[in-house]
Amino acid sequence: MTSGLFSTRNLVLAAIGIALNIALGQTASFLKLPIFLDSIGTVLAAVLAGPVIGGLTGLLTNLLWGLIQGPTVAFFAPVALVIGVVAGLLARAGFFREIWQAALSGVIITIALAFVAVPIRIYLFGGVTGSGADFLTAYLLRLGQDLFPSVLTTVLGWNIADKVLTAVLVWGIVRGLPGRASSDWPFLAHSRA
Amino acid sequence: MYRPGPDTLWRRASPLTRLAVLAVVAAMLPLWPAPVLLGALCLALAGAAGLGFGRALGLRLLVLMSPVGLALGLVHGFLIERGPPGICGPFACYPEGLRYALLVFSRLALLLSVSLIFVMTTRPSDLARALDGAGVRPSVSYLLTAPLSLVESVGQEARQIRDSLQMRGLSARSTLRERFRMLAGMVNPLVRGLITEAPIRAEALEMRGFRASPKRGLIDPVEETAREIWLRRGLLALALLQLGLLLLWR
Repeated sequence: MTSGLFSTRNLVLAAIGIALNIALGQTASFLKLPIFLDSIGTVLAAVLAGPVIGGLTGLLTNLLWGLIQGPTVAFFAPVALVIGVVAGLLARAGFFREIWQAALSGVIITIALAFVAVPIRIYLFGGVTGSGADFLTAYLLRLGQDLFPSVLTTVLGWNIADKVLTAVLVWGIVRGLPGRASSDWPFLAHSRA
Repeated sequence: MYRPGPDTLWRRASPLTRLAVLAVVAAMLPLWPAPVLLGALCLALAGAAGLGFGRALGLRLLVLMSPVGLALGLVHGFLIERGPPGICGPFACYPEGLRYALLVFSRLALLLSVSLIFVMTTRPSDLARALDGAGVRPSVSYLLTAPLSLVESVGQEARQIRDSLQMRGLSARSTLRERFRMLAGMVNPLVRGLITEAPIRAEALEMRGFRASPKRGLIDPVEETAREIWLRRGLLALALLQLGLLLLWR
């Protein structure tokens, strides 16, 4: 078995993470939940294998999903990359050991992704992407706010619940993995209490 | 996503040639005005009809692009001040904003339609073979194609878990709290199962010579004529030319 950052095991994890992001994103729509749930695979890959594999999983998720769901998703690939990298760095720092730390990780991930998502949303799409979040942007614009603060408020408000829930779900999944999982995924040791 | 259909030149072409067409279209987007892009969109729709899935593609475009079009028109045509205002029925609107909204919409619709044509006519396994044949590293071709194959099986597994949860009384049409409970009930077994399987999948791949060096041999490589290879090079040159023109004009 090959070892190292791009070992076959880590590549399989990234592929599974990408498929999970796409499949669970569709499930959230089916259940009519007010969240995206399209980064569970990314955060999970980051917690199990580190920031590089997490970032790669996020980046490729959006590029491949863009082929099926529409190019809008693909343009947000850098945002997904940031989610994976930040989640991996937080996992390395031990932020996935307790549930409250996982929730805090979700907040930190949201703030980090806003730095990338807001410029993409404004400069490539003029502030709207055709999602339900556009109603909030339109409402804030109608109240007299400028485009930048309207989009920033929309991105933060729309993502925070999603990313906190995603991080908490990943914490629950990781916690329920059998003890031998630590030998399969050495990076997981950072997230074990 | 793959849809079988009549044997056409497009379907006989290598997946890499189809990817080159996608690159040409992507390079068109920032360069050309809305009427040219909408004309190309009509061509793409006609092409899809010839490939046997024009109706399916049209419906998918309608579902995916309608909300985008509405949001773009509303925000840029009515809410953001852009140029002198005009009158649109009982409302004041900004014609310049509406033109900008149309441009963004036509870019997104064209790229979506061509990428859907690519996905609907390309099996992930064919793309993997073509990438292998072109000498792309197995790890790269695996990451680009395996998720497309896995999505179907993961989605199927998610649906099975959902159905079994519904049999036990949880409903996908119930209160928000119930739907979140259902989500947690679906995600945990699905993800844990996949994570536990990952090392086994990796071992199976290595046993099949996944990282054989210097290059894996293919039993059935994608056949390509010299003319098609030259056509692909021409398409890539056209994509680069458009990007060059864009840099020159800006």
